[in-house]
Amino acid sequence: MERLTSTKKRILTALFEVAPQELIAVEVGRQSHILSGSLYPALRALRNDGIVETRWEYPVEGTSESPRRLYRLSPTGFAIAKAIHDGKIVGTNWRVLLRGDRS
Amino acid sequence: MSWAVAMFGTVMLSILAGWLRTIIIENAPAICSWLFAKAVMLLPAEEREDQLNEWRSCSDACAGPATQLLHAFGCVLGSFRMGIPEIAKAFGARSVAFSGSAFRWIIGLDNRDSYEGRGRIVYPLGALSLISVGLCAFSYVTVLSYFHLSTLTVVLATVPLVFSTLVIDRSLLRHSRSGTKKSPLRRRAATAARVSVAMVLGLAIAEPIVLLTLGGHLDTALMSAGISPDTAGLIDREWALQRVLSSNQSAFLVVYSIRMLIALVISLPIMIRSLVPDTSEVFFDCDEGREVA
Repeated sequence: MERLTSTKKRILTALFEVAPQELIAVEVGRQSHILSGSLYPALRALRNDGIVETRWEYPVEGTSESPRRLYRLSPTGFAIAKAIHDGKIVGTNWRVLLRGDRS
Repeated sequence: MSWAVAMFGTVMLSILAGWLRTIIIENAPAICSWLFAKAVMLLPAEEREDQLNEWRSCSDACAGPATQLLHAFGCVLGSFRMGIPEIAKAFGARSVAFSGSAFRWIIGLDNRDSYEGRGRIVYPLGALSLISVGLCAFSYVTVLSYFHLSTLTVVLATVPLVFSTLVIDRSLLRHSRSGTKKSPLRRRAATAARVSVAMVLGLAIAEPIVLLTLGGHLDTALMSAGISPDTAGLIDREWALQRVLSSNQSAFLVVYSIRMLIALVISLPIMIRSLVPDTSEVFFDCDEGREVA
């Protein structure tokens, strides 16, 4: 994913602000003020790019609750989120910016 | 008497709305489950179970049935955004985009021969296409019907109009896609073209409303020119409208306000999508399976 949309930035900021705490998708949506129509595709894209990590939390046996997918920032995601927080990322192409940082 | 009918109608509508609201709220969990089950079918098979579990757990975390329903409808929209590119890819599509002007998905198909009995793929795409074409045709028929044309004329005029709209949409999609890849200038040009088309459509939709709003003034102008309002055609009414506009400043303001308002309402989504990065057009390159703009 080459493009870091403002939806993704808001998600990363929300996860950065609560780190190392993990959130379920709907809580990420609440924190970042993103509705589910945009939230799930953005989370999926971030997940596929390795920017966020997930783990499943299974309910106690015998309850009718569904397993919960918890989201947290990956090390790469944390670096990007920190750069966003510090105002270092203002554009949309985060890969180029990160490469620039390394050099 | 008419006030009594209006009041009675309002009361009945309120009761009906309240009744519907109760049914929907009481059945919110079942409606949500049904929506999730339908939405998840748009996703690749290996992602369905996980996504369904995630939606269900998130729905449980939503406060109240109204929020749950809003969340479920969002999930349907999200599944379209996640699943349509995958479906289109399997169907042999080269590109897929969301058309802001028509509020619908457009599938850029290059190779229809790759379809080999994938019923699950064809039905959603076919249904979407039929809904789009149906809405487009309905809009044109509504506008044309106002002019008291014969049924045959309306049908004959609607067919090429719908066809040309689809061709323009497809053409704009192609330009938009290449534009997003090559230069912002081309992207802006494609947006401008889409805004122009939307504004023309808006003006076309506004005209019957203008003629209806000034119906009394137009009848007076027609009668003063010796034309019976009952037999007056579109050209007579447009002539009467020009006459009214030249003599009545208030009518002039009203007419241009209506025209501009409707043209703006129609083209606003495209302008917002082009100006705000977050809501800009989302294009997917199906060959590589990634978002490209």
